[in-house]
Amino acid sequence: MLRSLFLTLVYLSFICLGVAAPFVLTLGYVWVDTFQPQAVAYIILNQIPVALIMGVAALASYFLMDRRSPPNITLPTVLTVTMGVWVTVTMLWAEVPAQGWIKWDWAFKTIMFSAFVPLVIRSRTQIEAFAQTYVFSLAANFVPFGLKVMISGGGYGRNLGLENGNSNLAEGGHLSTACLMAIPVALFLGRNTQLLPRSRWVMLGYVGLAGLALLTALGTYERSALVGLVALGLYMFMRSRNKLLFGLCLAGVGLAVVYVSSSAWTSRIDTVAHPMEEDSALTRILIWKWTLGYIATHPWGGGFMVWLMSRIEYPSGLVVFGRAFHSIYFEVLGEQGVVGLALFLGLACWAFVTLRSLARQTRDIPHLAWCADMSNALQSGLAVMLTAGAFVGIGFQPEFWYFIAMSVSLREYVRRVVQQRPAPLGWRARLSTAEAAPGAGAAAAGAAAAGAAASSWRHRRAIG
Amino acid sequence: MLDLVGIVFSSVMMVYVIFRAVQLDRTRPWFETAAPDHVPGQEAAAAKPVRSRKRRTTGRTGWVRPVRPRGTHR
Repeated sequence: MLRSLFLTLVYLSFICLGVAAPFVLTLGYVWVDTFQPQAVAYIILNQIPVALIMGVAALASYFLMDRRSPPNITLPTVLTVTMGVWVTVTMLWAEVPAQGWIKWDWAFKTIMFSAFVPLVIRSRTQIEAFAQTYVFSLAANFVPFGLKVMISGGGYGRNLGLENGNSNLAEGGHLSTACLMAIPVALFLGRNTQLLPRSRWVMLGYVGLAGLALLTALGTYERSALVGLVALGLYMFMRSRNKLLFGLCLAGVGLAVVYVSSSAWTSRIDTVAHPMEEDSALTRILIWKWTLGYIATHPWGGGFMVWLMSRIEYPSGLVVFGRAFHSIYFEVLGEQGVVGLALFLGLACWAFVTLRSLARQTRDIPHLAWCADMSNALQSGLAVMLTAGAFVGIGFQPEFWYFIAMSVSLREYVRRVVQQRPAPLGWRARLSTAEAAPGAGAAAAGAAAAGAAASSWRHRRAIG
Repeated sequence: MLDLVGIVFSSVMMVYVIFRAVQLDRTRPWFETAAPDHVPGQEAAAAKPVRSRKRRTTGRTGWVRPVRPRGTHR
């Protein structure tokens, strides 16, 4: 009862502050989507469409009150919107339309909301607030889970989190991947936060959060978590500046995991080496084979939940129907066909290439150094998604799409800051351009004037 | 009990973060305008040589042109 009232107050605080600053409503949607207060409340919030109210409020407040400094229409935005349209089109020939439309309902909203986020999340404060919202919303799940793992050691299939059932964050593979993706973001926030006072204690707090996220991932006993953890360690090592110190920390964490982990965890992880002898791993291989066979005859995909009509045959002769894909790649390929997979991989590739470029561009600029740090954190998180996700079917869950949205927001932020550099005017401009490239002075002056004209309408206040 | 710890911690931090975000969003510039090569006090340092050069062109002999009064004076 008290828990429900408390959560209702938090929900209302998003609405009230959203009236003053519309981007808070977008953060509220992320909070509702990640934390899912309606799933842990006993009254009020579980009886009203909390996500719908917050989503409509976020959209309406942006279009009515907050259309300042819009970002450019970029390739990832086009790819994301195209993905939203394509998943709708594939429902025209969906093999299992009744179940498919249920998945379409939340997947379509996730995709389109990620295209909307860069419109609202523009400044450094807003970008950081978005990252903080993601980490703290997830913390509601992994803080108790991690503490319970410290006490009991965790276990495969043991639901130690907030939610019941076997979907969303109650599913071990999904929870472990989301937690591992949050680790680099939490460490980034510890180093660069503006919203929380910067001190050693705050940094330690974020390190503690990252530690609990790691414990949660390990405590699920998911093999995909180990794959994601290795990818995360390697990628963060590659991107770190102080490789010796980071390598020592990594070795310490590795030794701690080996020393502390139980024999049950070790025997569970050992099955990775013998996939044909283990039922779960063998099922994955068989369902992936079925997907490739299905796509050979249905290249445009079978719509959402097409796995319900899958048929796999084990070497023992046992035939099983309706096994899930257990992989983001085969999930997208089977459901959305080659077009969907191309869009998905295109977004992932764009994110990596752009974030690497951003990190290179900003790492030596003092007031943009945080952008380089965040680029590396987002890359590390995406590396987890693309490796651990190869064994978990979470292609349309919000994590991947939020990371893409944060990447777009960050890139657009850097573009606007760089564009705003005070350009030399008048004879100084002519002199500097003549020195740099003789004959280009007039073009540069024209570009500067065009830039000034563009910034004048881009930065005007929206009506309201 | 531990579930409640997670919920309360997460919710309190969320409310604090959004409250601070609203505060900072109103007080700080959205896009930091400091140029990457900007050094504080650069303008003052750059202005000095210009002034001294002017003085030198008119004041090689130490004489400074008196300021001409504005108005109806021809």
